[in-house]
Amino acid sequence: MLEVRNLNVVRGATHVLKDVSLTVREGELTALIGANGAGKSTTLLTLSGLLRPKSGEIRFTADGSELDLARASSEKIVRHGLIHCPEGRQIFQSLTVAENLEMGAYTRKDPGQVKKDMERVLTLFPILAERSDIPAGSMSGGEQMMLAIGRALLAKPKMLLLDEPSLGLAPQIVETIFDVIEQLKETGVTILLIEQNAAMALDIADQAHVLENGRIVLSGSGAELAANDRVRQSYLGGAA
Amino acid sequence: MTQYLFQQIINGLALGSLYALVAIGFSMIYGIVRLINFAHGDLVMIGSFSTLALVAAGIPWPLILLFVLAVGAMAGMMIETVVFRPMRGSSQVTGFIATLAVSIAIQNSALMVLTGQPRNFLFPAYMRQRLELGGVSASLTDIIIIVLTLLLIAGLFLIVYRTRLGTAMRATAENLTAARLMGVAVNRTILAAFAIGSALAAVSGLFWGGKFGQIDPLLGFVPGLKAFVACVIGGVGSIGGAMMGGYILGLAEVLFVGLLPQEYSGYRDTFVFLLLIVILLVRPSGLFVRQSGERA
Repeated sequence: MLEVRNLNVVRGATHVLKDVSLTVREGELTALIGANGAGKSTTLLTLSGLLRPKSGEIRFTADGSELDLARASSEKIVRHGLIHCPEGRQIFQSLTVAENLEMGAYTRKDPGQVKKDMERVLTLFPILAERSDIPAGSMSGGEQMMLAIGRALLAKPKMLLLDEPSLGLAPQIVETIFDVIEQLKETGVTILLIEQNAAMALDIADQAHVLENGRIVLSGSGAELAANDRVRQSYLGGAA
Repeated sequence: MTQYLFQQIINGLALGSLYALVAIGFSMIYGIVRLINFAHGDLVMIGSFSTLALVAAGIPWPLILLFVLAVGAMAGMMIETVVFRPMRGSSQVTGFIATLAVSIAIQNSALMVLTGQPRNFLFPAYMRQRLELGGVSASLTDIIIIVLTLLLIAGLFLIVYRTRLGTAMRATAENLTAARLMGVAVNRTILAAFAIGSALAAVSGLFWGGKFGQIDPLLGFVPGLKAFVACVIGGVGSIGGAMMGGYILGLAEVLFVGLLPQEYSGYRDTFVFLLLIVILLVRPSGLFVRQSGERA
């Protein structure tokens, strides 16, 4: 579904991504793990058209039609079904919860289906229905994360990019969020998940890649990587 | 005394309407591109001279209003496409100087084409009569300005708070990156904000001519400056704040002149800027913005 080949991205004077290649297969959850500054967020920003690669190819195929993400505009990428739920949630604080969800569906032209999806999101996160008319910025961090995911779902993603959904959240809420991610996967949404919480990410991932200093250093199934000594030492707390 | 006070208030509201129309656009544009647009006042001038041309062409007044809105919108879109868009992402100082350059360019082109000679500008006689209302009277011109301004502002609020475009504009103003991730074509949204804001400024130019009776190519400077003050009073980036700031400024100016002894009337701008300083000392982010955040 997504094919990244020899991707190089330069930000300012820094060569952030070096010859990154990875594949995300349809219907699977692929995790990208790595330390702070390894280039995880840069990868996602490049996929959604906010950063332009220096070289390399990115092909995204959905419903049989292919899009060159290295060149397409961010609007076109969203319309093609690649939806990015960004790091730090980035909800619209001054807009109401309902307006944030409407922004999620901004590019869609099927109001009937949007309404159904809205109901689905509000069933998934009942708190959002309660808070519907208040400014989103006045909600707690966990509620804002639910809103960010709800907003992404209203865009009707064929593939979802999730950037650190657990960042700064209480463990209980992290569990809720991960439950939702698993449910999404079961409904057939392809997911590329970035996480510092490598243990949880590898636990639910079909495939995983480890990014170190802008290079993919390891790839394999979630279970393989979770069992890998190097991964265990660097990312899983080193427990033998 | 009642008549005098009433007259002053109507006068202040009419002047405030002119400021509010300019200030709103100023604020919308700042809100979305984070740049103080110094060329914004010159759209007032463009609006008033377009009106003059349209009157000369024999177009009926209600249509003139629509034409002036359209001319303002097109001028604003041109400024955004030619000047602001290439500047996107460069430093604020660069943008600031670029807008100053646009302002100087517009003023000087206007001087070249129109000469510095002031032109008389008159609303038709039926618009200039006085309206009697139970013991008090007011000029119909002022009433027309006040009512039309309120209608235009109501329309603006409908667009900004009740339409998809308005929601996208507010979303883009708050977080441009996130708006792009929603698939918003941010350049088009920014263009819309320029079009709407500039159209309102141009209509203010139409009213300006009608109220003061004379226009010249440099007339945009004062409304531009006053609109800036109105925005600061109300809280930069907030549309409602800019509107209220405009009315406060207009009323304050007129009441300073009307209620203080004659010999102080030449200092009205001094009082206005004193008022600004006092407001900034008490509420540094403006009167109508939550004080903690950058803006509402």
